[in-house]
Formats: sequence, C-alpha cells, structure tokens
Amino acid sequence: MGDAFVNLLSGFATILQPEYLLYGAVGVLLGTFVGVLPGISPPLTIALLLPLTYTIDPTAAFLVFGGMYFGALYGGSITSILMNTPGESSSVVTAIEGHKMAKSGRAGVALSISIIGAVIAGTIAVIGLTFFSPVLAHVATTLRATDYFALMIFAFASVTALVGTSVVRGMLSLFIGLWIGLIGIDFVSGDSRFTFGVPQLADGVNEILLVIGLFAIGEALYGGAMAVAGGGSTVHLKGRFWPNRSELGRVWKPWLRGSGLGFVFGALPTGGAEIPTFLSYGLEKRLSKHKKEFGTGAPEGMAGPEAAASASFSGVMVPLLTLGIPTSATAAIMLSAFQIYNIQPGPRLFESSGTIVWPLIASFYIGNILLFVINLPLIRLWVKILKIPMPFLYAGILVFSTLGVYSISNSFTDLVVAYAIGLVGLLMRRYDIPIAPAILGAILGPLVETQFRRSLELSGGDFLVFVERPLSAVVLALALAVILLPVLSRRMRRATQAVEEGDVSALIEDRAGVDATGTGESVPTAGPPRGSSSDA
Amino acid sequence: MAEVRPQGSPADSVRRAIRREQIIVGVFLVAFSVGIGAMAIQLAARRDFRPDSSGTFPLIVGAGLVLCSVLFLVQAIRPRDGGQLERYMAAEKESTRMRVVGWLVVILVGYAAVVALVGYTLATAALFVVVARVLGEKRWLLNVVVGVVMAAVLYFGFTLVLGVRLPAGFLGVI
Repeated sequence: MGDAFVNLLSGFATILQPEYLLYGAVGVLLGTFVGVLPGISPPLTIALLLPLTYTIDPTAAFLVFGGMYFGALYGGSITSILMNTPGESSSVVTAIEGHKMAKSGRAGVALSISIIGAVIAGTIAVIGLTFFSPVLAHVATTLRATDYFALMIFAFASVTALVGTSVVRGMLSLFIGLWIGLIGIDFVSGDSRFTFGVPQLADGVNEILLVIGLFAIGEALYGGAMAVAGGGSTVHLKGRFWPNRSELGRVWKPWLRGSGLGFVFGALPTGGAEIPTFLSYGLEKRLSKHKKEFGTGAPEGMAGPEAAASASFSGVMVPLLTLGIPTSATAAIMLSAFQIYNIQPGPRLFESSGTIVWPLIASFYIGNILLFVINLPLIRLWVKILKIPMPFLYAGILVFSTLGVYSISNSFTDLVVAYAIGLVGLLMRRYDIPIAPAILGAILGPLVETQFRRSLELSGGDFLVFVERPLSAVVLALALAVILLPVLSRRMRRATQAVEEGDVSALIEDRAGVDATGTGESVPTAGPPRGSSSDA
Repeated sequence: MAEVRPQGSPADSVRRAIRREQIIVGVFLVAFSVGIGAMAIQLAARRDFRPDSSGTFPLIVGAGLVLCSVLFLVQAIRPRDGGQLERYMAAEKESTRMRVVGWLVVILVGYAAVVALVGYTLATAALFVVVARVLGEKRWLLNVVVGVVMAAVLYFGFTLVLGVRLPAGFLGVI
C-alpha cells in the first residue's frame, strides 16, 4: 500500500504541470461537449476523439483520455436528465428519475445532484483503483494461460448475458466480433484467415476503424433515419441549481452506497454499469422513506444509480489495467488506445509502464476535480448544445467519424470498410442486437486466442487442460452459469405461472418450444436506450 | 387453448411484415455463418485439425456463428419472447425512415471516392452540407457557412496543430 501511495505521488508530480493539467482540462471539455450531444455514449465519445491524440505523447494522451472518460459520462447524464434519451443502458435509471425531476421544475437540482454524486463516487472508486490494482496485479502474476482464458470467457459471458434483452442476439454479436478479430494473417503460422484475397485485410480490421464504424457511423446513420422521422424534446433549465438541506439529507447516503456497489461490480471481471445501477435503484427504493416518489422524480432514486455508474466507470479500470481484460465497450476502446502506444495492460503493466499508469491513475483524481470545477460554471452552455439541430448533429458525427478513419492512413478502402461496418452497426440497432459484445469480441478475441493456443501448446493438445486447474474450472463454470441462468429462470417463471394458472398444456407447449430453440430470452428490465442498448 | 396476444402488440399486417423481415435477416445470417463455418473447416483442415494450430479457434468461432444464426432464425419463425422483439421493431419502424440511409451511403461512398482528388476541405464541406440537407436542414446559407467553417477548422487544426496528413486539394495549389 505504501508503494502504491509513493507511486501515486510520483504520478501526481508528473501531471501537476500546467501543460498536462491543460490536457486534462481539454479532455474534460471535449468529453462533456461530445457526451452531451443526444444519443452519443461514452464509448462513442472516446472513439470519436481518439484520433486527436495520435500525435501527442502517451502521458498527455492518457490525461486527455482520463478527462474525456469522466466528461463523457457526465455529458451523458445531462442528456438523460433534460432529454430523456440515455446514451447508454446504465443511464436508463438516471433518465427515469432525473427526467421526472426536470419535468417537475427541478432540472438544476437534478443536474447538481448528478455531478456532485459523480465526483464523489468517481473519487471513491479511484481510491479503490489506486490501492486495489497493484494487489490484484501481484496476484495476477501467478495466473496461468488457462486462468486468463477462463477469465476472458467469463467477461464475454457476463457482457453478453447481462446486457441487452436476448442471450441469442448477444451471443450472435459476440461471435461476429470474434470473427472480425480473426480477419488477417495469423502471426504465429503465417496463415491468411478470412481475408477473401483482399491485401488490405492482411493486417486485420483496425480496431479504431471498427469502433468508429459500429458506434459513430452506425449511430449517425440511425440518428439520421430518426431525425427525418422527427426528434425528441428538451426540458429547459430553470429554478434553483443547488439541492437544499432536505434534498442533501436524502441523497448523501445513496451517493455512498452507489459508489460502493459501482466500484465492486465494476472491478469484477463481470464489469459493466448496468447491474450496479439497477441494484442501486432497487436498494434505494427499498430503503427510502419516500417510496411513493419513485417513478415521479425521487432524488435518491437518481443519486444512487448515478454514483454507481460513475464508480463502476473507474472500477472497470481494475481488470483492464491488472489483467488486460476490458469488461465494457469503453474499456475495450481504452485497451485499443493503449495498444496504439504499444502498451499492453496486464500484471506487468505497473512494472513496465509505471511512468504512464500512475500518471493515468492520478489523472482520474484530477479528472474528477476538473469535471466539477469546469462543468459547474459551464452547465448552461452545455444545455444550449442540446439545441443543435439534428441534421447538423448527425452530419457533424459523420464528418468527425470520417476524419477519424481517414486520418489513420488516408485510405479509400478504410473509409469504405468503415462505412460498411457502420451499416452493420445500423442493422444491429434495428434488430436489437447489442453492439458492446461485438466490440469486446473483436478487441479481446485475439488475446483469448493467444491464451487458448498457449494452453493447448503446453498441454500437448489436451482440451482438459482448461478444467485441470481449480481456478480455471470454477471461472468457466461461472461463465456457463451466467449464460444459462437467465434461460433457466425464464423457464422456472413460466412453469410457476402455468402451474398457478392451472394451464398445464401451455407449460408443455412452452417446454417443447424452448427445447426446439434450445435457449430463451431474458426479460427486459427497461426499454433499450436509443441507439445503444449496451454501449457502456 | 386460446392464444394470448401480448399487450400493445402492433397491427397484424405490421406484425407479418416484421416477422418476414426477421426471417429474411435470419436466413441471410445462416447463409453467411455457414460460409464462414466452411472457410473455418478449410483453415483447420490445412493444419490437420491440430488443437493448437491457427485453425482451431476459427472453427470454434464458425460453429458459434452458425449456432447463434440458426437460433436467431428459429426464434424469428417461432418467437418465444412474448413479442418483445416485434414490439421493439414496430417502435423502430415508427420512429425511423430507413430510405434516407440509402442516400447517406451513396453520399459517403461518393465522398470516399473524391476526397483525395478534390481535397479534404472542399469534400468535407460538401459532405456536411449535403448530409444536413438530406436530413431536413432547409437553411442553405447557415448550412453552407457551418459546413465550410467546420471543414476549414478541422483541416487546419489537424494538419497544422496535430500534424495529421490530410489531402490539401486546391488548397495545396494555393
């Protein structure tokens, strides 16, 4: 712990220079600016802004990322509260209570509770990240290839099963991503895989191109199709901004509980902000003395989930930095950003790239403070951005995404591939196929394959190697359980319902139907947010 | 047993159209996945199906794709989700106009074809203006001013400040 503290101080010493602080501030501003645009989620924000960092030094680039990371999250909250259009599924709860607060004339209070909660939760989670990561990194050095393989499969399983509304569509998205990750020449054998004779595909599909295509271009095409059909409405910012004593009394405990839930769930290889935000909402509803206000604008119903989302945002950095496993789309994009700078996150990261990691962690502390200091005075400006006409917004996103792709290598082929991927992204949105598993599959897939082949090489081709070590076996069993539980619980629910209603024939028919498909659907807890059912 | 229709289900004709669309997508996905699966088998065969070779993981991915696509198609034919996807798609159809996407794709491919030739600034300004117009922006002057200013700021910002190489086009001649 002492080492972590000293390293953190050295990280602060690096970034507390005017030049780096400026980079952090620019990151927060850009992140909030883009994040506040309707329908734009944090991973999309970071994907769009990634090309800006190609030419600056890694420390500065990661400071910008740190700022963008938090700025994008808060920008998304503003849109959720004022427009009721959550850019990501973890903002759904914010939209439920926050938008109701805004409609009842408490928009300012909702925004201030959101930003204060985000800063408190973000800081608590970064403290957890600081002291927990080196310990986990140390433990991770004892893990073997099979353990890594099992952990990555677990990350796939949880992101696929717990996000979105259908296990089948989530798995389909994951396998599409894994297949895209396979395209190119295999570096070990030199075999060309799925390149279809196109020389430009020999190096594989660039991850940035994939992310920009699926998220940004897909969203712009989808948003364009929506803009032509008519758009949403914004609640105006009026009344007082700060919460009063009674409101503060209602939200400070939810902030702390949400922070704890968010960090713990974010730091697990399951990742994602959906579970902690919904758990926090349920918990606050149960503990609240004002249960009747839930659904009509209860401050604690927004404060807890907002804190959980912010804390899990930092929490997902734990598996990313220590295991090299991204457990959310945003973390997957951060991983590809690391790879641009030839930095491979994992247990050795803290030793090999300490000069970058500690300033990055320090930048999260500063990012949280900058988020507060910069965004409070600018809140009315951000609200004005919501008034950008939709045609300009989506034309602008297409211009920025095109620039992001084109600046990689000035290639016509890259642009056409990105547009084609964008079209796939649009169709995925249309058929409610979540995007996040595809991104995770494409970015994490090559790493999974490396661990898979290494394990089999060491075992002489024996597949039982994956269940010989207790840790690998347990984690793989958990992954299977995560996939099967929603299916089994659905069967149980239907069976119980049929027995209660005395409709046994329905039960028999249902069993036959489920057996035919071999799977089931998880019950949606809330309608998918527009454009990105599972992006965070 | 009487069929229980899900509450708020779309009209029958819309439902039929949605079901047909889902089945078409499912068939396409199965065909695509089978193609990928066949290629994966060839890859694995090239390495004699050795477990630690470059062909094993593609084989697993191919099999997963085929399985998920078949399940997608089966669910499209016999929905078991209480009409959730149908309702989602009905709402989608109501809130989007997909015809415009065709125009956007044509504009984007056209942009990709000419950007190196005419230069970043001109092509990007035109891209912005045309896309905004297609999406319903009727104020031509404002549209052109925003498009030109944005393209110029991006070009000079990226080339001069960030050092990113972008085609100059006619600006290079000047």
